[in-house]
Amino acid sequence: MSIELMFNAVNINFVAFSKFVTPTALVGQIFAIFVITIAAAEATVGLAIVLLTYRNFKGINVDNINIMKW
Amino acid sequence: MVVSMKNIFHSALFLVLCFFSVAGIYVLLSAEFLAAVQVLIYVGAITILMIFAIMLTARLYSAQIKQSNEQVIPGLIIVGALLVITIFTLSKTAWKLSSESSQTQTVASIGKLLMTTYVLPFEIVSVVLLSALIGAIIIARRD
Repeated sequence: MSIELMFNAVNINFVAFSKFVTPTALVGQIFAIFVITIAAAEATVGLAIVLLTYRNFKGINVDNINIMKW
Repeated sequence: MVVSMKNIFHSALFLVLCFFSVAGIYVLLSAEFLAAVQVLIYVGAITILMIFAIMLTARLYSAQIKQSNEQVIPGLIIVGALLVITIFTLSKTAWKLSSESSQTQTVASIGKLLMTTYVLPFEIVSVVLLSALIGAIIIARRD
């Protein structure tokens, strides 16, 4: 969720720069569209990992995932 | 409010509020297509995905969950320093503001640009989406 906030902040920056520096070439908005798409793909994979972790560790407390520690 | 609630479902709802606010900012920056895309994709798809994952995995409220660790004070100091540096840099830069007026038909322009100048990232992003779809299905498969 925090990373979605960061993606949104970056997108606002892109669009704002696109409006004030190059208003006719909408480069910032197109890049923001790509960032939204990649964020969606990454959220999907991340949440799939969370589901698998829940299935294997019976809970999603990150401190319990330590079976590779020695 | 997203990162400080104890109930994780409330965090997700505040995230939805954030997404709607960002869409409003896009409308103010004369990017209407991006505002519509933001609401559709972020609120419509990603929030639903997160709420599915929350409902399927977490115990929603637990009194033992700490939402902050013991390093709040050094974090605040570093963030404050970063804020001062950023404001100083922003106020001293000579931005090259363009005096042209912005486009009125953003949807048509974005469509044209996506199909002519930016067609390669467009195709690559579609491949990335396909791979993310296949990867998520394989990761979360029950066998």
